[in-house]
Amino acid sequence: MATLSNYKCPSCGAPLQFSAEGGNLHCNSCGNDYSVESIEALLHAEEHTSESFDWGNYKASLETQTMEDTVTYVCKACGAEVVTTPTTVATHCPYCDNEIVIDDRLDGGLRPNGIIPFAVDKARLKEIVADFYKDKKLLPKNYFSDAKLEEILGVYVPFWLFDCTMDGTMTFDANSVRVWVAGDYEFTETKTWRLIRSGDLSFRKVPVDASIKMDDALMDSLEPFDYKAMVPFQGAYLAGFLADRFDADPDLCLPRATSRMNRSVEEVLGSYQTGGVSGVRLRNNAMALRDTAVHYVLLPVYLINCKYGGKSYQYAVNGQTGKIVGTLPISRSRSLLYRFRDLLIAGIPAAGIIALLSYIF
Amino acid sequence: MKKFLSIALLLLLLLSSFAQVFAYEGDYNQQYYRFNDFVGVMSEDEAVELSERAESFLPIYGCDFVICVTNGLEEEDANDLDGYGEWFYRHNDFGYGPNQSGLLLVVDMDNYNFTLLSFGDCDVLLTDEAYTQICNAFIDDYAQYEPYEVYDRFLTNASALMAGGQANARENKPDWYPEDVTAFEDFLDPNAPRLVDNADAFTEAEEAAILDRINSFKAAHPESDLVVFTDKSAYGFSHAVYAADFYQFNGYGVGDDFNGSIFFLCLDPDDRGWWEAGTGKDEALFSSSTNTNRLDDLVYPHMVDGRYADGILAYIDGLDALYTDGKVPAPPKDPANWGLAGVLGAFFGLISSLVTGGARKKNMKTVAEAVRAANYLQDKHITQADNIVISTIVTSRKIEKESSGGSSGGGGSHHSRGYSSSGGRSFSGGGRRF
Repeated sequence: MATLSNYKCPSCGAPLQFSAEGGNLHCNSCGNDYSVESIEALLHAEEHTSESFDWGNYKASLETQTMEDTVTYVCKACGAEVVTTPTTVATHCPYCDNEIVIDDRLDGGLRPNGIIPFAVDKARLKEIVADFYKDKKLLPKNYFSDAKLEEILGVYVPFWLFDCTMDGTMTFDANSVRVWVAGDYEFTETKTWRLIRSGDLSFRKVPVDASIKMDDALMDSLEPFDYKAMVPFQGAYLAGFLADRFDADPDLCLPRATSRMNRSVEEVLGSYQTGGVSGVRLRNNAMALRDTAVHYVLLPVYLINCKYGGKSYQYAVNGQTGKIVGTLPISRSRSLLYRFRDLLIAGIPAAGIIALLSYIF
Repeated sequence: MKKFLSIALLLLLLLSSFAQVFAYEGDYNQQYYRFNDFVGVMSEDEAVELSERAESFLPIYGCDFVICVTNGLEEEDANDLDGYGEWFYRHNDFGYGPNQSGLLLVVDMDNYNFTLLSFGDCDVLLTDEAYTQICNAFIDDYAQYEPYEVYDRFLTNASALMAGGQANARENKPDWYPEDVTAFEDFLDPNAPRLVDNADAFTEAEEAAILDRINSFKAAHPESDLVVFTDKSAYGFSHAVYAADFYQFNGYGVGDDFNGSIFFLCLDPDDRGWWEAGTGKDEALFSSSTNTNRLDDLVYPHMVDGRYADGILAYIDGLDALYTDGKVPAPPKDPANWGLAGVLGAFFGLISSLVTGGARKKNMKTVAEAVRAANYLQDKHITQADNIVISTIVTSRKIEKESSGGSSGGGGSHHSRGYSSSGGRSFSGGGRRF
């Protein structure tokens, strides 16, 4: 327990002295005064710092059974293992587009807690892809064909959905500046603030994809999925589609989920009742976790693989909402053509205006 | 080249507006009107016109001409009209130069009384005789004319007597000045040279060309005289008065009104500039600042490049148009430099294509890693929100005031209507320094 004699000035670090006259704590070094309550609050807020977050027994909600009545395909090129019903024929790897074969030695993998069925069919997929390419001026000609779309199978991508409540205290540094004029002088008052924010924030179903092969940024960009459409898993949902088996343990995915939640907590607390101050930056994080849980789910995604100029490009379509994301290749010749066109469109009128103005003036 | 770069900056950086400043040296308070009509003896437009005329005299005579028409003494400390006038002049910081030289006419309409006060150098220059002359003329005019004319004539009389007094007091002046300018009797000398190049500004060929042009002008306008005069100094006179004096004291003019005009070029390195002025019937053409500004615009590009003869010839051409058509043509424009415009346009186009190209490229990539979980925040409770001041620092700085006062330098036109030569003849004209 800190005693009065241990109190240090939050501005300069010198020992504080109690001033009986003002009833405050005074710093003889920098001249600042503080109430006892505010020093106590600062000390209490920064007593602890969270170096890491303890998720405790968060895996308790996971299923223990494996999926039944499934066949497992293996891709010899990239090692992907995808699962489907015995009646579904899969020929190409959804990740690298190479040939895949059935491997009888493998079981169906962990049974998911839930699944969001595909809501986008092939016809709708074609429309979505066509719209996506429509205004992409730099795309190479004849880059994509409908025939390619026919070959694609939708993939249920494994995801870990994390729940937790972050509870604790964060402190922030901030500034405020006030300027006024009196007579022939301009005065500037700069205040340094310490913001103490405490509370609890609950997050539900923060997704992290459970496949090492899957590009995290690509999957993140497909968000959000509407979890209201999630149903308990049944093998029948796999008919006509593939389902990837997870290869990233939830412990491996925890840091990503924690980082996202922590960032959001920092932003919510750091912007709460900060009128008049600016330059808010985190000073101390003393948050802890409770009510933790994780769920294993399969989410619908169409993966489209293309090659151009010796490079591979992958796009993903949210099989529920139809959102399409990806990095498209840029045709060099088209890029140059459009740059030249922009130069002419802007440059010629600009030259005319400059000449006209110089003539007038 | 300079013009195009500045135009390019206009396109990219949004230029601000121009401002013309009077180019004469000397300091005077430009904040207040010189004609202060607290009673309303004339319209606001008339009052402003008189004020502008009085203000135009300041750099010409180095003297402030201030008029105050009031109906009672506002300043309680003033016991009489002189005291009031003293307070009014000092309180409003009238006057020219460090000695705050000037004349103040105060008219008390309630008591039909007036006083004429002199300050600074005018105190010395205004002789008792001149003082009496001005006052008597004011009384006579007051009985005959409307208020605007009364005060307009006051400015004419006061400036004429002031000019005469200044000329007589000046020890260093050219030989062609009479010993007592106030006693000078006007004369006409048709044989006086119409081109006098005391500054050696022209070559023989240029002199011949100018003379030829002057003769052509006079043949086309036989009722008007035209004189071109250069000198290495104006001997402390303003260009306006020096030009007018040269015209008057050397017998130039046509007819009883001595109609004509003069172009004076001063090549004193510390006082470079020119002045054109007309008198007699021709004074009306020079009383318009539009005409004199346009004549100056024709002359300026040549003068700043040292092509004085070309400037004079351009002036005479403009003057000829003024006499013939009643207006001065606008100066010819430089043809547009398409080459430089093209380069600047290409530069602008390149910047634009980089910007639009970058946006198009950005459109090709729609993938980004998620760093937040705000969409998954279900519930929040904030239990503490304390803002504690750790330190307060107050600094101060003195606000630097912008310096006031007159500026010197070239580029701005000056115009004056109805100013007097040292010999008391009325001229109107304008000029520019460079």
